[in-house]
Amino acid sequence: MSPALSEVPYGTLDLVILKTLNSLGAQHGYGIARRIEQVARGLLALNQGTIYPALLRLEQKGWIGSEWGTSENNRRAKFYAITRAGRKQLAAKEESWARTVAMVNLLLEDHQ
Amino acid sequence: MTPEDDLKDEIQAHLDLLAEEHERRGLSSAEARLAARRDFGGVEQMKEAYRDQRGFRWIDSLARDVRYTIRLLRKAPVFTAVAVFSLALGIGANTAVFTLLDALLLRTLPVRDSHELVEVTAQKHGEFAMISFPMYRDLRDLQDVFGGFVATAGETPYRVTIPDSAGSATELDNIPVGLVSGNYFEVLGVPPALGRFFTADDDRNPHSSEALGSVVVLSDVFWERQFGRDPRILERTISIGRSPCRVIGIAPRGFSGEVVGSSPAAWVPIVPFSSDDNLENRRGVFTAYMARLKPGVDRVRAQAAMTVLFQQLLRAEGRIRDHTEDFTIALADGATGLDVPLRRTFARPIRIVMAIVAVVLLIACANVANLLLARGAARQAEFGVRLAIGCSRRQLVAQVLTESVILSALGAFAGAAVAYGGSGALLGLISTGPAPVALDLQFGVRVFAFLAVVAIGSAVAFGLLPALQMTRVDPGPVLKKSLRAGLGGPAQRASRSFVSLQIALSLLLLIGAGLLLRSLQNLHRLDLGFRADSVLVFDLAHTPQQRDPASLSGVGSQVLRRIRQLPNVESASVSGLLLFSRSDIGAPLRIADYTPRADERVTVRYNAVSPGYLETIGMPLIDGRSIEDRDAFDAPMVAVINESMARRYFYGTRPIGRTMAIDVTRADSAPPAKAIEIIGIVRDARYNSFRQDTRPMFYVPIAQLPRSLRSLEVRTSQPASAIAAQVRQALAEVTKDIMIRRVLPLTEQVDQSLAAERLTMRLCTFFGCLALVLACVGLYGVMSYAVAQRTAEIGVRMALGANATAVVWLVFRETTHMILMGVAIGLPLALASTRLLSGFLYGLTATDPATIAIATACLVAAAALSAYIPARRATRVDPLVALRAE
Repeated sequence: MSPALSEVPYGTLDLVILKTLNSLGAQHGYGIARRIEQVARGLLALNQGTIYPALLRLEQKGWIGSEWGTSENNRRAKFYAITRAGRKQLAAKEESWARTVAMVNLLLEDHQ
Repeated sequence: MTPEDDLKDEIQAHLDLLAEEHERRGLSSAEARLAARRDFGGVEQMKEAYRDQRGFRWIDSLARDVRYTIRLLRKAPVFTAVAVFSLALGIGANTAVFTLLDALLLRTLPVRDSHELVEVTAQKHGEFAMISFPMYRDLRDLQDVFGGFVATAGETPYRVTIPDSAGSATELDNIPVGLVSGNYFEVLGVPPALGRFFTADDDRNPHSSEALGSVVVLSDVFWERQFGRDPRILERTISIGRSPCRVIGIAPRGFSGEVVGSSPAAWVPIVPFSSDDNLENRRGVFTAYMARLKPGVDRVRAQAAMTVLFQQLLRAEGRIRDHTEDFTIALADGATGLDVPLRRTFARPIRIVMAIVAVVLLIACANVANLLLARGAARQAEFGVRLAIGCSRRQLVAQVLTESVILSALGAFAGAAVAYGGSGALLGLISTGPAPVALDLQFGVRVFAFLAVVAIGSAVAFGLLPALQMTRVDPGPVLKKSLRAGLGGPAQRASRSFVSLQIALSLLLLIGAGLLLRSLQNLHRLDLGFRADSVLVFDLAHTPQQRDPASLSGVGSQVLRRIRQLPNVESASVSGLLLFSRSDIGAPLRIADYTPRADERVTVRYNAVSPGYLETIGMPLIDGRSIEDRDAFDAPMVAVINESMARRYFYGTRPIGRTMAIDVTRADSAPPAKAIEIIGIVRDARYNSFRQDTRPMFYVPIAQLPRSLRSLEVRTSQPASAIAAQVRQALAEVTKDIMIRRVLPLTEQVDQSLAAERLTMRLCTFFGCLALVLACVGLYGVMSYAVAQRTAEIGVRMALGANATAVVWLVFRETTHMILMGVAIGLPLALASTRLLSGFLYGLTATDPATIAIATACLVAAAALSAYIPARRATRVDPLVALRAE
C-alpha cells in the first residue's frame, strides 16, 4: 500500500502560498500549485483549484497583489506577488507555526 | 470584463498549462486534458468557494434569510401582528403629533428673512394693552428701528360675487378675506406670482371701497379653485361684500398670510375697507401688528426705542393721564407668524400629547424588545441544532438580524399610514372655530425617518441579544437540555425589567387620563345658568349697509318677526354677542346708587338682545320682567341685570326701578346718554368659559342700543339640518347683508370652549388604554414563557401533592413582583409629571388620591388577569408528561 497522501492541514494553505510567493517572486496560480507540489515531494494531495479561493482571501487581506500578464508560453495569466504587509504576516505566521509545531511535538514526546 | 470572466480565464489558463505539462510527459492531448481536470479538482466547487470568498453568496444567503423569515413570521401571526402594531403605533403617533406641532408652532412663514419679523404688542405690567389704529399710524410714521411696520385686521368673512361673461354672477358666502395695510406684502417680502401687490395709493380714502371700488389680491388656492389659474383674471372686477374690486395680483403658492391656521382667499387694503369709527378710534383696537427689524438693529434695542416713542405718544394723546411709564412695547419673535388663539389654546395640549406619544413609543419599543427576547429564547433549541450541524455563528446572527429588520420595517411602513391618517384626525380635533383650521401639514419625513431608525435599531438590538448569547456558548449543553433551554440570566432580567417599565409608563398615562376625564366630568356638571339643550345658535356675519341706529334697529326687529313665524320654532331671538365665542363687550357705566372708589372705573359686560332672548336660551328671571316687544327703539331705555351685578352695585337692595347710564366720556362712540331703567334680575350664567366665575352683566334691548347682529338663537326640537335652510331663506328675504357663518346646537357651541381639554383627555385615554394593552401583552408573553420553562418543576410539585391554588400562586409570585416594581416606578413618575396637566384640571388636584387609586387598581387588575391565563395553564400540567420529558 502506498503511503497515504495528506490533505493540506486546515489553515496552513495561506501560509504555504505566502511562503511560495516570497521565495519565487511574482507567479501565476499554476506556478504556485506546481511549486507547492514539488516542495512537498508528492507527500501532499493538493486539488490545485483550491488555491484560488485562498489567493482571493489573501488578496482581500492585502497580503498579496495581482495583475494580468503573459505566461512563459505566451498565455494571458494572472500573476500574484507578495506585498510588504504579506511579508510581515508571513514572518508572524512562520513564528507561530514553529511554536505550534514545537508545542505539539513536546506534548507528543511527553506521552510516549 | 466581469470578475466572473476573469475567474474563467484564470482557470482556463491553469488547465491549459497543466495539460501541456502532462503532454510533455507523453500523454495524448485528450488524456492530458483529463489529467489536468483531475489534478485541478472540481471546477464548479472551486468556483463556488471562490464566489463565497468574494461575497457573491451574500445576496444568495440574504434572499434565503428573507424567505425563511417570512415563513417564520407567517407561522407566528400573533407575534408578528403585535410587534408590527406596537411599532406602527409608536412611530405613527409620534410622527403625526410632531407633524401637527411643526405646522402649528415651529414652521416659519414662507417669507423673506423671517427671522427679522417681530410681532408688536403693547403691555402694561405684563398684561395685554392696546395699540389703537391711530396710535399705529403715529408709531409707524415716527419710528426708525423698523424696515416696515404692518397692520392687519385678521381674516373677515365676506360674500364674494364673481360676475361672469353671460351677465349673471356666482355668489360665494363666508370667503375669508384679509384686511391688511398697503405695505403688507412689501414688508413681508413676498413677491407676486402674477400682477402686482398693494401700493400706498391703494390704502387711502377711509371707508371708500363701496362707493369708489378698491383692489384685491387673490391667494393661489382661490385663484386655482375659482378661476382655474386663468392669467386673464388680472384687471377683472369681483365684489368683496358690496365693494367692486379690481384683481391686481396673485400671491405666491404656499403663502397663506401671517396667521397660523387661517388661510385668506384674498387680501384687500385695510383703510378703504374700514369705517372711520374703527380707523380713528383711539379707545379700541381691531388690528394686530407685525414689523421687520432694520438690518443691524436687534430686538432689545428696537423694543427700548419703540417703548420710549409709545410713551411720548401716549402722553401727547392725553387719553391715559397718569402712569404712562407703565406702558411698554413688546416685540415677540414673528418668524412663525402671529400668536393667535388657535396657537395659544393648543400649544400646551399639543406639547403634552407629544410627551404622551413619546412614552407610547418607549412602551412599544419595550414591547417589541420583549417579544423578540421571548421568541429568541423559544428558539434556542433551534439555534443549538443549527450550530451543531455546522451553521456558522455569523450565519445565525445574520438570520436573526434579518428577522428583526423585516419586522421593524413592516412596523415603520404601517407607522407611516398611521401618521398620515393620524395627523388629519388631529387637525379635525383642533378645528373648533367657524372657519376650518387651515394648516399645511407637511408630513414629518425627517422625524419619521428618525423614529423608524430608532425603532428598527432597538428591535435589532433586542432581537440579537438572545442570538448572541446563544452562539457564544457551545451548542452541546443547549442540545442536551433540549427544549427546556432557557434564556440566560441577563436576557431574562432584561425582559422582566421591560415589563415593569411598561407597567410604570402605562400607569403614568392612565393616571393622566383619569385626571383629565374626571375634571371634564366636573366641568360638565357645572351649572351654566341657562338651558343649552334644544337651542340652535346661528353664528352671523352682518355688514349693514345703513348703519344709522333706526335702520339697524329695524333690521333686528324684522329678522326676529320673520324667524318667529317659521314652523317648529318655539321661540327665537337675536343678539349682538355670541355665547361662548370668546368675544366680549363692556360698557362704562354711571350707576346712580353706586359710589365708585377713587381709582375705580365701572365697566360692566353687557349684551344687546332682542325680546325672547332670556326665554330662548333658558335663563331664568328672578325678579321683575324680561325684555319685551314694547321696549322698542323710541321707548324709554331699560335693562335686565344679573345677580352678580345686583349684589355688586346695589348693596343688596332691590334694584328694580333704579337707573344707570352709559358714561359717554369714556364710551367708544356716541351712545344715548339717556337713563336706563332696571326692569328685571336674571340668574348668573357663564358666558365665555366654564372656568371663569360669573361676572356682573346686564342685558339691554338690541332695538335700543342697535348694532349689527352677531347671533340668532332658536329654541326648537328640530335638528339644525331641518331648520337651517328655512332660516337662511327667511334672512335673505329681510336683507342681503347677513351671512350665516355656521349653525350649531348651543350644547356644542358651549362644548367647544373645552376643545383643548377634550383633545388632551381623549388622546391621553386612548394612548393610556393602548399602553395598558401593550403592557399586558408583554406580561402575558413573559409569563407564558416562564410557565413553559418551569413545566417540569411544576410537574414535580404537583406529583408531590401541590394543589392548583399553590401552582397558580407560584406563577403569580413572579407576576406580583413585576407589577409592584412597575407601580413603584410609575407612581412617583406620575406624581412628578401630572403637574403638567394642572392648567387643564378642574375640581381636583394633579395628585387626586381617588383618581390615582382607581387608575392603579385598573392597571393591577388588568395585569393580574393577563398573568392569570398562563398561571391557569400551569395547573393543567400533567405531572406524568412533565416528568417524562425530563
